[in-house]
Amino acid sequence: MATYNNLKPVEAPKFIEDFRQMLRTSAERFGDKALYNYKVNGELCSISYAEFYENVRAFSTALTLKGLAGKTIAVTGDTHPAWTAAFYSVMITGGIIVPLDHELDAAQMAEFMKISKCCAVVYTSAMEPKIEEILPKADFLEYYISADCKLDSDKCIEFDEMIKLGKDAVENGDTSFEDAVIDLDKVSAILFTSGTTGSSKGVMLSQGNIVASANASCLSTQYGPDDVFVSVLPIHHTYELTTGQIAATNLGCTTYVCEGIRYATRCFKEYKPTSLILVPLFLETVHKKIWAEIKRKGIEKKVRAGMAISDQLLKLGIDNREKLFGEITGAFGGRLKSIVVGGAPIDPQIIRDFYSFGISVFQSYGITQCSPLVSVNRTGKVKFETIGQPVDFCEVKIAPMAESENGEGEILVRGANVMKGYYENEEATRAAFTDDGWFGTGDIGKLDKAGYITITGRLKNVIIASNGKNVFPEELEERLHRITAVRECVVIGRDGDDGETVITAVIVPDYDVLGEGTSDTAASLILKEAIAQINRTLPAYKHINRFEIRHEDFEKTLTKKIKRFLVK
Amino acid sequence: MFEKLKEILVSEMDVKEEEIKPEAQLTSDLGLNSLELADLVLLCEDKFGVAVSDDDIRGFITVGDVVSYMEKSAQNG
Repeated sequence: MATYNNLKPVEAPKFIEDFRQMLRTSAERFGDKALYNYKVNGELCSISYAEFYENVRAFSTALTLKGLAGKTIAVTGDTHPAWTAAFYSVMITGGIIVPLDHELDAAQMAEFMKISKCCAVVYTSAMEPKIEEILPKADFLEYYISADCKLDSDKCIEFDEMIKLGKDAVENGDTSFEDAVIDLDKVSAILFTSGTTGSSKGVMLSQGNIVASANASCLSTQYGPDDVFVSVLPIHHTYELTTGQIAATNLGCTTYVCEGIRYATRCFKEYKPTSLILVPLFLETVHKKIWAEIKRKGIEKKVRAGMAISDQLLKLGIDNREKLFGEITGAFGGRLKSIVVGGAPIDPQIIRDFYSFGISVFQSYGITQCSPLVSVNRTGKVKFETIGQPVDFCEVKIAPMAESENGEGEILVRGANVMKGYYENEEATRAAFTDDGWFGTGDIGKLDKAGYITITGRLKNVIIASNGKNVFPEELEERLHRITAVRECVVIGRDGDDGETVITAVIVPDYDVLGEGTSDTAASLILKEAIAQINRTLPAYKHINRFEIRHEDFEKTLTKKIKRFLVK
Repeated sequence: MFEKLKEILVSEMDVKEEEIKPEAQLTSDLGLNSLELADLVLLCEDKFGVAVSDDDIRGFITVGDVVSYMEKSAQNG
């Protein structure tokens, strides 16, 4: 067990009762301090805690005046104070917020809004082309609320207009924001689990679920008002939203908004974060770069010896890491002390190396259905190879598998953070819970005597990419089946050399199409080109990176389904 | 343009020089992940003075795709 001793203790976090109380309390405590620093047209803007609270109060009031209180409203776009203001306001006024992935295409976005019965959408400027496409087709949307742009339509209203409307009403005595009755148990958010409506399920969370997860996050970490975050992950993910945005707001941190994942390295250098919430992909990439640079300079032996000595000195309470390795970790801006990492598995060696270099990495585990935090390693109690101990307000147990000898089984969760169910899908909801109310995560793991959880596999087919996004093999297999030379195929996630998940297609070629006696080399050339064509239509994290040719058909069930669990 | 891109891939992405061919696929042959692909685009933007939209990145499957995009953008710019 490792003790991270480079983190200063901070005062105990304020307990969040609901989001209105949290924002009011934070505004009172942190007033003029910057909550968000973000760029608009290249200019760095700032919004304070007090201003943000006033915006949420005004936006909530305007929602009520427009007849939108209690309604279902979508929000989409990049991280922006208007995005989070909309998120809080919809919940406070008794509605349901539907955060949508900004990478969805216009048709998918419209479909999700229709399915979840949205009557309005709040969006940021990057979304304007997609919203323009949706506008003529989506009759069901009464309002299009733009954060920093405006389309030419009677249905469009700017966020600032809403704020003005709300502020004027508040000045004239409107108390609807203060009067709103907050039901923590009511469904307040619907989050779709993937980008295609066919395979996606809508996870229904209450405000109470998200509040429980945010409180657990605040209690498990060592962040405080001195901390500076750089937000790089997509905000519609509960991981970034709860453990990043909401917890940081309750703790008085300042968040710099990175303009997009592709600018992450630049943002780290410019904004110099003290703390980050990341997915393994970032750490894997920086780790790879660090070691490549060390090897290029021919100083690998020296660095490894330095790490060993430094680790020994640390045990004696002497911390020389900044002096020794400050240059190496400069990629993060030079002030970084800790990273909470989650969303996908990570090689423990990467965590160990960062620890030696002076950055504490806290591996965590979450799932959208649990709002999302389930477990995390805490300061002073870190086991590199585990996902930590269960967080507050949540219990974890393992449902032992008959064939397992070492206590492995499905990880089950129960507690205030667990979802209300799947939207309009009673069958899936029933299947997700045990008879006595435990939620089945679909992940297989084991618990040690001290309550640390280790994940050892997955029951479900879904592949978790290193960026934390879900990749559904069925979606890729459907595309592969369109290649005439493919007779059968299974897509799986394999561990790559750098600990990354490599999406791999195992393909049984159709020799009726290719011609009897076609060599593997010839078949590979044809398949490679066809797969490249598929990849051109997919975001990079879904790319089929490898394929393997198999000569025997896959083993099937009685109903002729491939036994994919046998494909290793 | 190909040579300049090769230089970036070798010096910044730690890709082996002999693996870099126009038909080599960035993710499956050269082993870049989505974040490294984004980094490569940023480096190209800086080096060649072009702007690449997020949607256009989807078309970058092979080294040749990046080369022809940069050449086309440089001509138009």
